[in-house]
Amino acid sequence: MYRRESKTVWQEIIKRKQCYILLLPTFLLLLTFNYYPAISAIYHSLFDWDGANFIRYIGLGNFTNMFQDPTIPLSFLNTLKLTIASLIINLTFPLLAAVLIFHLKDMKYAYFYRVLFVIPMVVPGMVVFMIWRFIYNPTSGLLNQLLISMGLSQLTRPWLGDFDLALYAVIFVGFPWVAGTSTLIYLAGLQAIPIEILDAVSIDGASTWTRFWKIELPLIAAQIKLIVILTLIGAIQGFVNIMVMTNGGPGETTMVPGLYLYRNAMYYNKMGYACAIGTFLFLIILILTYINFKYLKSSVEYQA
Amino acid sequence: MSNTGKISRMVLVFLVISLMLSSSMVIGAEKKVVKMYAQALTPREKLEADRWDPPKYMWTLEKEYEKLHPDVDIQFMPEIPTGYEEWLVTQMTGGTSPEIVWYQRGYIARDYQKGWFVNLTPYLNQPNPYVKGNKKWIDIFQPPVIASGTAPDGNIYMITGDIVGTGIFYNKDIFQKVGVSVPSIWSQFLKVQSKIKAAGYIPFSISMDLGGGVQLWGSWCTRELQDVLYDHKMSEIKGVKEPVKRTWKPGENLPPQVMVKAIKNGTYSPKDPEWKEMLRILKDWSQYWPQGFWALPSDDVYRLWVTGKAAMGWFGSWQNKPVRFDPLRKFEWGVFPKIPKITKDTSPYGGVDFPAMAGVGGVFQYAIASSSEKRGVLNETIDWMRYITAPQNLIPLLNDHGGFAPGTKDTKGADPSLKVYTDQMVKYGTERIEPFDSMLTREFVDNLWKLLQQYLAGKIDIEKMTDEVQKEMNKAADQLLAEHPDWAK
Amino acid sequence: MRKETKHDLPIHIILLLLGILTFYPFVFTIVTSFKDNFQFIHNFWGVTWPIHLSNYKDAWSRISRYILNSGIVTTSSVFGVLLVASVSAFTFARFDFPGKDLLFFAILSLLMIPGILTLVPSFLLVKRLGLLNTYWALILPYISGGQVFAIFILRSFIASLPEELFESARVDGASTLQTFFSIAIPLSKPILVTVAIMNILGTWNDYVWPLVTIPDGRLWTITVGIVSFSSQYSGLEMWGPMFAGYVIASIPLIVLFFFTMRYFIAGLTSGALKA
Repeated sequence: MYRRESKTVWQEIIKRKQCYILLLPTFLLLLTFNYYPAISAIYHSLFDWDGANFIRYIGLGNFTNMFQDPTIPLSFLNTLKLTIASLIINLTFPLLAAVLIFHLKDMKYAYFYRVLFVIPMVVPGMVVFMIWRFIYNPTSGLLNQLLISMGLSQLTRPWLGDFDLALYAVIFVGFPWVAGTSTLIYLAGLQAIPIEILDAVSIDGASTWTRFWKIELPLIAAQIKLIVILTLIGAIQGFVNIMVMTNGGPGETTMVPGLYLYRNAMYYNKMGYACAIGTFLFLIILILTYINFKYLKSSVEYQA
Repeated sequence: MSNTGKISRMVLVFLVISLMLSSSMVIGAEKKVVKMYAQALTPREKLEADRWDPPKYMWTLEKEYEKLHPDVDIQFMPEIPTGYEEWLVTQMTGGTSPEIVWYQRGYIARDYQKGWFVNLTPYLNQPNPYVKGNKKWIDIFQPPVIASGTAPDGNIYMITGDIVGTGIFYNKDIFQKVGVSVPSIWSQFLKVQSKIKAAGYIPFSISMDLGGGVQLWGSWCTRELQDVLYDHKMSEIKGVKEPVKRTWKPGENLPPQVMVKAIKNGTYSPKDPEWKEMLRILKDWSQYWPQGFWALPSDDVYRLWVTGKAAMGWFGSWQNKPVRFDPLRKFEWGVFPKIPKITKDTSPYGGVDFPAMAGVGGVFQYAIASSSEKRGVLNETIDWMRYITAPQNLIPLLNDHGGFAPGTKDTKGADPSLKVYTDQMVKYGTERIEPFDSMLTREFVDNLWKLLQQYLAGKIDIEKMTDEVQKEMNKAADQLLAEHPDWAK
Repeated sequence: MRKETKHDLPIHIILLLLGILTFYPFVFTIVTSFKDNFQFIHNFWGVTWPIHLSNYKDAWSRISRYILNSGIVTTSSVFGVLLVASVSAFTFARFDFPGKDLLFFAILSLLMIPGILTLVPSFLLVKRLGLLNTYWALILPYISGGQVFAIFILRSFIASLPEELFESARVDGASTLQTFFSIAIPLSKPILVTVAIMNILGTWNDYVWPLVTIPDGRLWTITVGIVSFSSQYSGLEMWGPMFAGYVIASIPLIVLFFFTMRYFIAGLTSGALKA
């Protein structure tokens, strides 16, 4: 890495001007297409706004309303559960699949499995939701029929309508969670491990488990951290799966902030309030991501 | 060539292609373009998968109209079944929408102040040149039909032209096997369902899920029951002496202003015995609904019935054709002539027939975007609207679609199979208390359906449910009063 | 070559099991694409006879005009994202300069704003730029939005490449740009492919944005065409042609996946280190 040699910040900036020039294309695009709408959203959280022509400055009014709104704590609790579940899911099954493929001795099979897990990604989300809704169907769904045929009819539930289990039913959708970019990212990380290290380890006669736990896992720590952050960002804001599967129900047991925000924006004429919820989510994600970024910095050096 | 070179060359090629392709063709500026999003009436060619002819009549109307007005070009947008909300809000905000958009009564209260739509009241009071002898355009419609487009400010922002019927579809084979016949009163209805259940079938297929079930059937059930149970109290709620009849006359029903006042002074409350009776009747009925009905996806409601697992189902008139043309349906079917009447032996508040199981506004619900004025085609747009609402055009148009009955006074030539719905409305009238989905605020409605679902699923009891509804009702009433202070008078 | 692991069979069993469960939705899509509406309603899961090849004819008639649009939009967007994001990711990964972390976080934080809030402002912006009804309305926002994810992913990858590689190249007199093209890019092929796949899928399947920014419908993408087969009235949807549309739409994607998978080869670093 380059060391700081100059004395003042300005001198440093001029010295490194090449870096800023390289970043120019990115920032030009972002400033035009992303920052303006994002700042507009955050800005409007200070207003009572119907999304069209009625607008009135109310300062932090939306935020005080938020803290008195009974739907908010409930939805955030759900998001917490969803996020933890998503983290667990994204750190296990895709990782398992990637490691297994990586350990295959025949390249031909590795190629086959990689293809097998990538092709399902073309299936649109709606189809997956449709299938799972039918699996969970309380009357004629696959899951209940299966339980009945196994003699376990007392375990049948109205899954997506179960006031306690609905959220977990939604979490389980997409099992086994292998077709996705998480698997590919883990694989890419594993394949970037220099051959010398793997050869050295196997010469030392280490078992597969030791090799995985002590060498491979730490060396893809960067990818793991990546997936943690991406999962956080996605799970905290996400709501499409909830909207399609339960629409926040039964009752309000699967409500999440993202869905509540959507409703306020599209149906209740409370765009300002929606922006406030969105800003609040943004701040939470920002803080969590920052913590993750700074304090779980993965080491880049390794012994050659 | 190096990688960079290859990549940049490809990028260049694509940029050039897209630039060429994106230079839009200039439409001839002489013609006035009236673009219409006709939703289910959008004309299209028949596909192999179509079992019956798709709607095409709009093309006929377009051709004839353009012959009369060669300077006007009518265009139809392709259908947008999903994402319509997002599409509508962006196009209306940006002013890029078609001149005519499809709209729904439930959204008027949300949107009428946004300046998106043209106030149609002045145009409705002018003559429609395409109807012989017509002095005011509004007169060609049945009053409740056109009145459904009224916003809280008293103006009409939407042209409604049709009536959607609903009916209780039933499986004749199951009825025969179980040995029951179509019931005419509620207590019989329950007995019939009990027998069907004992025979191993699901008596009544219905859903109260939040993905569309409760919004549809919850609304249908509550609006029908409410009108019957509150029949004796209508005048009191309205604050008048004369009885409030179910008629076709506008102003006979109880619009939002009246309901908000009634809520505030306590003459209408979920704590009323009538309201609780509504809940009790539904709860009692729900024992004959599918297991886990509050989580049953709405598409499965029809599936359960048409595959012969459920004996009855409550469906809209547009379901007629899919049922008729289904080669895999293995049974004879029919439709109840009316909802079985609630008599005194079911409830002390019974004794009145249900209002028509129909509603105004099926597919023909259109609003005119204010941007049409900016584009200078407002007059042409209004004229086209007048043309297609003229009964001699509207009726074949709706017949062509086959799912909805005309909402005009003159119904000569209308599809006879749908006549039963229009007749019902004339005979029994429509419900007097505005249905919940347009009575108060959208937020109230969402919360009401949530609470109804929880109550019917057995999660909360009737006291808790009505307490919560009262809270939400008060909140909504206060919000509306704040927006319309003149309602307090 | 890599050391062979002794027990491959359990690996195969587990992977096959995962594979079957994962692959099922794709099989379901294909099976359903041959059904007509009534078959779909009466039989959700099973294979039904007769099969209706006409669904493909119907789907084709509606989406064929949009295939070129999807192709142009997706290809341009993905190239754009890879180009722009790799340069920025490289800069963040291998250089130190004032405000680096701040700028990086400023980019990352854009992922944290819920999309529905930015829909209308973005739309109005695109309109004001005069881009409605053009490919640019799609391509530019896709590149701009897609690069955020891409920079984030690529940066961590490029940062973990060994410093010696860059040092030795610099000692040999290579400029920054040359180290970028001759070292960073080749070694990042697997992750570049991953990013490419993510963007291909994202832009190909995107529905709302093309719907709202192309009001005249001429430049709609394939997904918008497919969704038109559903309906707001239950019972009037056309499931068969819709699923046939999904299958047709997935063919170019699958071809692309096969093509890009070649770059996902193990042992890329082995050559570089020895250099």
